[in-house]
Amino acid sequence: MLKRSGTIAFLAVSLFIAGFASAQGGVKTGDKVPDYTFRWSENSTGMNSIADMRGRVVLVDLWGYH
Amino acid sequence: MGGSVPHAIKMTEELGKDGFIAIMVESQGLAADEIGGFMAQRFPGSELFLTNEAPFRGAEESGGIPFAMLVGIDGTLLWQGNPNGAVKKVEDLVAAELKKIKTGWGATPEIKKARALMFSKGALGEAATLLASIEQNIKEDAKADFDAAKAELDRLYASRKAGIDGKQKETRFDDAEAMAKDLAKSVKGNADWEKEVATIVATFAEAEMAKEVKLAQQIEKIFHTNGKKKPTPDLAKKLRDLAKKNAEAKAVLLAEKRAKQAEYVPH
Repeated sequence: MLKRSGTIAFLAVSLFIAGFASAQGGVKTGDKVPDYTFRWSENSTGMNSIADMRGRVVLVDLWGYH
Repeated sequence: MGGSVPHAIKMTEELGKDGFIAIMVESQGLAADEIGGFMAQRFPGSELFLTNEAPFRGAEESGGIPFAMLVGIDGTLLWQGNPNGAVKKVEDLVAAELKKIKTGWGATPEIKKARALMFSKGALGEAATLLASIEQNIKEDAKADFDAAKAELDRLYASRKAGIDGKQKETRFDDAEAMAKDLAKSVKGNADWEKEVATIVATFAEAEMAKEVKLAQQIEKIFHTNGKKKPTPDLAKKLRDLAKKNAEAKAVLLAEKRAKQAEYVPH
């Protein structure tokens, strides 16, 4: 019984966290983007974070190698 | 892979000097140390910002790729979506932002000019002189923007210095020297910065560093033998032979990295 209650509680917490994350929903158009420090695999120029790129127009392009 | 990478390369080649940056986020699990090899083989000669970590998620992102987000000069998300279906829209938004970079922006004509100097002309010293000249007389309603412009200038100077360090850590001593010399031109007009950058430039004239710069130049020349065509495995042997002759040099790390990229076989 205790084990079942624990499972239900765990699921409830998981669903709450998932719902919260979904409500966060990522950055909307028109919002300021959060700062972030990159780990580049190539081409370090000193512009290592979004804040370093202020005054530039930045295209963040998600792509895949397949 | 779609057409997003070639388009980002084209835009970077055409507009990079004006203030456009493309950050390519590999999202299908390619290891960080493989991305350089992949790009060298598939898109030789391209110079993009490469990573496999997304800086943030877009609200309209469904998890599928291609997906892109455009961030404006003040850090506002201007657009998000599939770049293949919105080429004209993205190009128009980029053009509008680049126009702002060229003319500058700000609460007063002087702040606007200072931003044009720092972001469009790369004239950091002149921008610092201009901002210093108006500091005492700045009106209350423009003070926040003045402070913001000053912070942007300081950050720009710091990031360009950090870039010189970053290139040395990559053992791209050739690029590091070029960036130091370029920064020396940019800071003319600000005595403190001139002095600081002159010290950095002088380090590249020291015998050991000069050897590293020369070796890095040789490595890059070999690696880019084929120009816009992909590097071939025979270049890997040439690079490793050069590394053997210079075993004590730091730039042998660059030779080995380039050798691996030259013989990399994309999945």
